[in-house]
Amino acid sequence: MSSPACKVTDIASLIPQRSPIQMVDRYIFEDELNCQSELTINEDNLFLDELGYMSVEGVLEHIAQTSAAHIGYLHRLAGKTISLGYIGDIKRCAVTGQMPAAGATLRTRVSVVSQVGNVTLVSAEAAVNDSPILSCRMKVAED
Amino acid sequence: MEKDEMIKKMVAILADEFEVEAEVIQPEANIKETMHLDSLSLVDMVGLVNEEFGVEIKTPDLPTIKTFADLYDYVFTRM
Repeated sequence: MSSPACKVTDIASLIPQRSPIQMVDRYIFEDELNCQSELTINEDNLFLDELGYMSVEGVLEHIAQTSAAHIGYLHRLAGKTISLGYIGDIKRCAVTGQMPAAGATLRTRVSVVSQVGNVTLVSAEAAVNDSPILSCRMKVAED
Repeated sequence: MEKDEMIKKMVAILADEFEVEAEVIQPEANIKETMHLDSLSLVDMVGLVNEEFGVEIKTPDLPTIKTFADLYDYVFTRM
């Protein structure tokens, strides 16, 4: 199923979220197990705190949407219908840097660790300017 | 890696990950009951086995892996 790295900007074709809750601008497919995504944080982002910084919940939502986009992209490659994805749980969450402010670009790498049925376990690391700010493991369950 | 060594390592990582006493992980014990696994946490076990032993447990094979002895055999024959 592997194909060359591919950037998808039509995120709406992979995940159901729409502005202002959409937290992925660009999705980059690397291979079946790996992808990256980017989000440029706008001033009206719903996950900014009162000081204008992205919340941890916002980064986690960004990771969840990246994971769902990857699963959706794999479904598309396989000619299957794209399902809704839900966060199953989050483990080993570590905040390792300052949360970004509006104007910054969040870049995240997601790797699939395992998959059982409609549940996918991913390992993710989010970074700003190549500096990691948060890592975690997340389970995404498909509808 | 010898099978005994693999089993010892498996018991240690499963006990740590799923927060159970190593002593309860007996070969004939049921995996799901012993480690209180549900459909969500099953994927953790599969991921752990993949990362630690380089063995991918295929979804269709999961129903055949009921006890820890089943798991040891499955992993050891594929390492």
